[in-house]
Amino acid sequence: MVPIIQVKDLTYTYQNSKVPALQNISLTIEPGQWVAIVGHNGSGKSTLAQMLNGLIAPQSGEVYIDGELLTEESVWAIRRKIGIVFQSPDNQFVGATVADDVAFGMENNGVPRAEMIPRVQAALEQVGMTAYATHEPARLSGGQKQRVALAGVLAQRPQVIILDEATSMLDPQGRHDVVSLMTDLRKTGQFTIISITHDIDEAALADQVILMDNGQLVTAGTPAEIFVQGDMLQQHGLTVPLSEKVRQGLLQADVNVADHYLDEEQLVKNLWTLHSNK
Amino acid sequence: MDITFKQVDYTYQADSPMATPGLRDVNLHFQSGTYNAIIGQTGSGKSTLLQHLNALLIPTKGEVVVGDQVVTPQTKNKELYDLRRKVGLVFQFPESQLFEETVLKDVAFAPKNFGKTAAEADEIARRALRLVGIAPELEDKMPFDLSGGQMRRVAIAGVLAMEPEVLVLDEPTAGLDPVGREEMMTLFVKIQQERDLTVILVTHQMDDVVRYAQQVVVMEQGRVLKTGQPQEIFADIPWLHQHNLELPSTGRLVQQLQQQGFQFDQVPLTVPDLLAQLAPQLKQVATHE
Repeated sequence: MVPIIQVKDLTYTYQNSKVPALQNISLTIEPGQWVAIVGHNGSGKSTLAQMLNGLIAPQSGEVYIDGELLTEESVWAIRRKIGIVFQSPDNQFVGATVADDVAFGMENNGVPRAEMIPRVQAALEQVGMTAYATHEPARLSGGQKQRVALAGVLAQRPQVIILDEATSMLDPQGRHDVVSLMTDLRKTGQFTIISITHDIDEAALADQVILMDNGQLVTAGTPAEIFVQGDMLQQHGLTVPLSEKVRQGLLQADVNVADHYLDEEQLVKNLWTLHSNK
Repeated sequence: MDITFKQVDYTYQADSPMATPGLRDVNLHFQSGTYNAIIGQTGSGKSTLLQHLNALLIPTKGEVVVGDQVVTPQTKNKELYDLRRKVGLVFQFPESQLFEETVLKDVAFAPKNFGKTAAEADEIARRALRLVGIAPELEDKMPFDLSGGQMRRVAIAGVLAMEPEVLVLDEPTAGLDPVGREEMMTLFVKIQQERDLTVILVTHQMDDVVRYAQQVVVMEQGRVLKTGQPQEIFADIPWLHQHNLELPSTGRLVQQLQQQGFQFDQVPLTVPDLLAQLAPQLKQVATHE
């Protein structure tokens, strides 16, 4: 299988900066995976995301999307394969209505109007925003805005969806709505999802977690492999999920709890066994 | 500085067909020098309430008493000059309000505006910058050349430079990573203690509420639903669900544990609480022998 994303030895330094924002990053992502890129503010996560669809061109190294090298010539075709939802719900709207906004990307790509209309409808349905098609985007809540932004991405039928801290400015309800939408999209099996986040509970839902710091890739693995390394996560400015904090705490209190990462449901079961056997 | 709300109503676009209630019969007391949290869903009236604290909005009915200043529907704008200086508001994403050429100028803007000489204003600004942890060598930089976290600190210093007695914080940690959030919350405690401020925090981060607040105010549809200490507010999980309020991060796990059959005397609101109540109920490694 051709990896959907392959990054080879990527390095990038912003103008006026002495330290590289990205240093020798190499990684491979298989199609259909949900990958969480985690790291504190300024660790290089967003720079990496912007390189994947050519918003920033690498100074050295290569990006391959679906087997194709990202170049000045291929960037337009590649951008059709990758959609990004950005952090701020307020800075990504151009249309006067929700439906116009969702259609904007397709208009740019010359999709015929007859095809555009059903695609806008389908995308709005997918994010549960059909009732708002004629509303003004500015008047929506933060969570609704991000769902519309996601509909705009879905309407272009991308293979990869990047969510660049798309939930970090939302209230709990908005965050919950966007995360459950991501879970639904994963179930369709049609997309590779890359979520860039410092919300460890969101990262727990991913198949793979990539930890970045100082523009470098620190480590990668399944959530279970990453989350047991609490000290390391803390050292890089992150926390561990609650279930892992509790498991570590119980270990220290000499409780005979499991020796590997458990999500909340598994932890409750494990603890109940220990309770019943006492 | 004590703050009291007495039967406060606020109506948006009052006396028009578009009139919508913002606050309804709000009665509240924030005691001088305490740390208070206001929680509630988006649209519950938290921001409307905040804007009454420094009279950005004045009540449609009732009165707000801030220190010795009484604000009623009849209060004129020019009477509010002192009050606005005494109550410092830190809005969400305050860094978006930075505008001056240098960090020092930005922070000195408010004291200059409130009548201090340039030298006095610079001196006040420097003190505020040190308090939020901005080093002297950053003073001549453009605010926009700083990192996001530093910009937010500078914006907060700008509010502190007014030397307020009340600090109002609207979601001050939104968008920060876990370490940045922790640093920011610790900073507010330090500021509160050093300057003996009354703090009023609006947040969705219930762990911060549990950890820092002495009084919690729960808003719903423009009304005060409940006030109390964190333990009183967060002990009743079904009540929180009923009103669509978030739980502290331990809440969901505690609930699952209860459903499984674990018993807790008092609902644990923090991880150390939870561990202290849980560990004795579980089989220990040492009991094997």
